[in-house]
Amino acid sequence: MGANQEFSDRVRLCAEQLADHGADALGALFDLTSNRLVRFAAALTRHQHDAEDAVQAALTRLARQPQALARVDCPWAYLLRMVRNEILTMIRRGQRLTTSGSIADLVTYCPVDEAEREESHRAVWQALRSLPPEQAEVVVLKIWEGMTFAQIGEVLGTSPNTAASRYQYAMIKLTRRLAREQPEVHRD
Amino acid sequence: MIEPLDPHDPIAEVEALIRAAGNYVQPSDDLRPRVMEAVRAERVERTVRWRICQAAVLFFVLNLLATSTLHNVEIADGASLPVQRADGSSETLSTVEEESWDTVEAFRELRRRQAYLLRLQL
Repeated sequence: MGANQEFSDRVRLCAEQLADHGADALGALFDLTSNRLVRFAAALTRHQHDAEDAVQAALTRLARQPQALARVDCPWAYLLRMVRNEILTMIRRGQRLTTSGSIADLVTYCPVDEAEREESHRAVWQALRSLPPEQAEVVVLKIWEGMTFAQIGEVLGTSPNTAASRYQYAMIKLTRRLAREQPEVHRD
Repeated sequence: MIEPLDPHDPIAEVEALIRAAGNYVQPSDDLRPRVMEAVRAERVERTVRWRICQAAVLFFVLNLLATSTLHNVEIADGASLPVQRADGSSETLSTVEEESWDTVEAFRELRRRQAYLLRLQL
């Protein structure tokens, strides 16, 4: 939680710079948040291009109103919500390019010393993409963003209980799917 | 390596697997320049739109000022505007107005005389 709090503080700092210097300070915010935003969006859209389009649209929108991010209580949650809203808009407009289950389109990175774990990472993403988007987003926010269910509820506009139950269902499905892919998960 | 919180809890083990895959998906290399270019293009577009709006407002205001100034000049100078007569001589509007009432009187006198003659014939 400490690391996530530190990250949130850095996002707030970037938001303040953005408010002071306008769109010129957007580069710093991009460098800080793009990895996390794209991973969140990719879990929702299941496609790299759609995820990047959503992130680009959200940041471009933010550049139009640079003060908006500095005014909110939690800039990081607000930014995630912006990306999510862009994705929902894309889905509503029917702009989603693909619903393919393959993860071949994803841009991935695996350090050399973690090469033996690449298969495991691929299996995780494959399993994550097989979840309904509303469950996948809860898993991303809970595990990768370290948010509480109350914070997740704020980002998604649902109650903490709904977020918790989505997480439970998602974890049951993921455990089953990853057990098939990674037998060591269920070795007894 | 992966260290689940509880080695006997499969969900904790899956959570550890997912956590480890956190940085596996990355943005593509061209995303940053794409975002910056989109922001820059939008700023340029907004500036051009703003300039066009400013020019339109300025043109409208100037047009309004010019029209009202011209109108005021016409009202102020209306009484002494020169009127060109058919015989080539020119007079001011007030002289013409006085003469035009004389014409009306003369025309009414003519109609009265015509009516009198008509009555005699009957």
